[in-house]
Amino acid sequence: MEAFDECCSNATDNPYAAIADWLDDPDFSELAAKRDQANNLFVRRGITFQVYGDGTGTERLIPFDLIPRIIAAREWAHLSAGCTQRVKALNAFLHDIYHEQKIITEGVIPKWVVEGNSEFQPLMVGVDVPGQIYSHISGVDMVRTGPDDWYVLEDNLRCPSGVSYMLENRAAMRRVMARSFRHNDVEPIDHYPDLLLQSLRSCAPDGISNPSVVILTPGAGNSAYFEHAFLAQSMGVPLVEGIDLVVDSQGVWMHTTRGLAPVHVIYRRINDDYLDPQAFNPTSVLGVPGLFEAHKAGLVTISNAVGNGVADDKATYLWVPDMIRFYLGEEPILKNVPTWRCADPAQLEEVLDRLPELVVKEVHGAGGYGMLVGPSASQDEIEDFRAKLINDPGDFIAQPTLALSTCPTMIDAGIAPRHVDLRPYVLAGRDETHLVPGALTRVALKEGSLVVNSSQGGGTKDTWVLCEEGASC
Amino acid sequence: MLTRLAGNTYWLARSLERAENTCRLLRALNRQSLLPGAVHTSALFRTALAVVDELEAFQVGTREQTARAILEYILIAPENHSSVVNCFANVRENGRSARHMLTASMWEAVNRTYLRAQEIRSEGVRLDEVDEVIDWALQGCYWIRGAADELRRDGLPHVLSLGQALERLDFTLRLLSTLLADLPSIDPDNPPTMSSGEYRRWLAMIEAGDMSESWRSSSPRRRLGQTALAMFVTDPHTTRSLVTNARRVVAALEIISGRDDSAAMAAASALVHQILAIPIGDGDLSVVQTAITEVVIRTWELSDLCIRDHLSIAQPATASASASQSSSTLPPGAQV
Repeated sequence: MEAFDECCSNATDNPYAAIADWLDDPDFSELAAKRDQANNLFVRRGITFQVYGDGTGTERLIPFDLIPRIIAAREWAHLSAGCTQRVKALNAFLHDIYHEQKIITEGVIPKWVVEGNSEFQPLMVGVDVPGQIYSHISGVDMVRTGPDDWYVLEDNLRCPSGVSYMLENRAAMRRVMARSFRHNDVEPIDHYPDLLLQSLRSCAPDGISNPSVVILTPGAGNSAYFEHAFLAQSMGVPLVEGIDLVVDSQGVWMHTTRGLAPVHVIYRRINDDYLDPQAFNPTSVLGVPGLFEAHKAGLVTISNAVGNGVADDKATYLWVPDMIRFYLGEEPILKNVPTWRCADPAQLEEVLDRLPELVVKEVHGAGGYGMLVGPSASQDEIEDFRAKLINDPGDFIAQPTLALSTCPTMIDAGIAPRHVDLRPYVLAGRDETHLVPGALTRVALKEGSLVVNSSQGGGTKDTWVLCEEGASC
Repeated sequence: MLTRLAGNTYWLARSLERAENTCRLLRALNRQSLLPGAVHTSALFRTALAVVDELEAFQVGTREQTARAILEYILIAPENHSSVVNCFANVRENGRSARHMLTASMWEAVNRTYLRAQEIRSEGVRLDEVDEVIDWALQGCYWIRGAADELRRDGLPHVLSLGQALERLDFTLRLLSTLLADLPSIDPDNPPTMSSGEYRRWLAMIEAGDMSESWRSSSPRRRLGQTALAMFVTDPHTTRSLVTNARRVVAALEIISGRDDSAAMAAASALVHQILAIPIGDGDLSVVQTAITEVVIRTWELSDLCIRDHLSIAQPATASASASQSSSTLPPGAQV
């Protein structure tokens, strides 16, 4: 399968012309030295993640590739509009399914999609959230297969992570490749923490003039703890753990040296199950007893809202284009990947017939785990998945194996194309839904691999959005 | 404490603080130069020259007017008395004169930083490496300052505090008077958007003034201009605000002199009141600048009085240190 090479397209406005001098330079040593410099920077700054289940508990550096992914202004405008549209529709969907469920009563999507979904949270039914915003921060995963062919792979509406890498990658690039930024007009992304804070504050409970925002982390042992600390530091807000918070009839409070201080917005990086032992998993020691009741009473905003999983799992994904038409009255700007729903016997049959050529994913899976990439799987792996599908078809969807586009990437021997995806972060506030002009590009560092997840050997790249020629950024 | 040693300690503190301030200023302007639509790097670095009051001196002679030339002038040039490398040399020379009062770790911090600074001078600085050099210099400053926290002899901590506070006053005033000139007056009803050039210039000023942490914890953040001005001028909780440092001068002078009725004390107390009267709430930056110009003059006079009445130094340790007390840093006629 021939993959689209973003760098070597013949388009007259090929954005990679911006770094042609690097790519054409036969002397690789300078780039290699810069890469080492960038890696040292990451080590020094402790930009790490933890891989669960590797037994060692050690923190690892996420591999960083020095060659940026470059997106032209025109392309970005398209992606940005499409992501914004999608998140607006998904927020409208979440409000609807936890209230009137018009989308079901009007026959746009079947009832089982919502109420048969294990991520549907009955406790959220009838709960009003400020501004009807459920997903304040959304990570929209996209892939490209051709010059104008972008597909959304999934919408992450729970606790999408990785934005700290987007920002730190840019900081590292500015540091080691400063000259390139002087010669190219690359849209800045540094205001992301300010925009995030602004969005979160705008969604504080009604009547709060100066809302207090905190980030709730499971603690230093969490794989994304670096990101939690990074965001708290860059937004200038407290990073709290469950034991730091207490709930009473007046609201949520944090223990400070000056006594209890109010908390109005909680950007939580804890899964729903662990958020409140009184409402959800009673064994949770990470959460805050009574938090959900305070949320229901409108005393505190939880971001992202509880129960968002029903809108971002791989089964609901199929209906997002319909949601856009239903709630916004618009045609979807971004395309979905054609998807087989294995719960449907006819579709399952086709999937089983074509298993070696498809990608099969768990409906509630994430992180690249629990998936089958047919073309690169062994016969044993394919047969394992066949058994799983037959045993529990409702847990899976299947998609064609897309030829993910490639970008030039540094490897030991020089520069070679590697497959990439893209995750922009969409911020939704009461008045505005928007995103900074940049994203996290994940790259599959192994030759031929389509799995970009960091836990599976993927790395990251800085993503440059070039300013429109002649326009002021 | 001997006044001679007090003088050395005072200039050690000022030189160290000047090195740190210069580095932070350069870093902020360098970052700004990497943004799209930024004015040319050399123009931004000329702003740095203006803030450190070396623009005229730089333009004398036949120097290239490139960004790199300006960068080297500010960081390493031997002929720039306030270059970062010269500041470290001044720290060492003044520390050497008071070496018996310093701890071993303090002296090691001073000496090693100085030695590395000399190496950097001989290697030169490329535009692409500016962040590396600045990071190193800032780490040197933090190391020395951390070691200085252990100093307990006589009134050393108070003299260090006096020198640091006066240098901070001086730098914050220069920063405000130079950078505010490029900003439009504050319109509270139309705050700059986060992607605008005005917003970035305010943030660069905040970064240069080491106010980023204060800014992040300020609330509500959308009132960028007013919040920033308050942080720089009247906020008693920011470590580099004018009022914080004027009050530190008052406190240090009281302990150093053992009295509360000296001319310097009176001048310092008056300065606090004058700072608090700067009309930052109106948003009219030209009025703020006029008031700041007055405060600049009063600060110079205060420096002069501090030296004349309490430090009484005939000469700092070296000719280069003497020259480093440029006429703009000290009031004309200051006894050095």
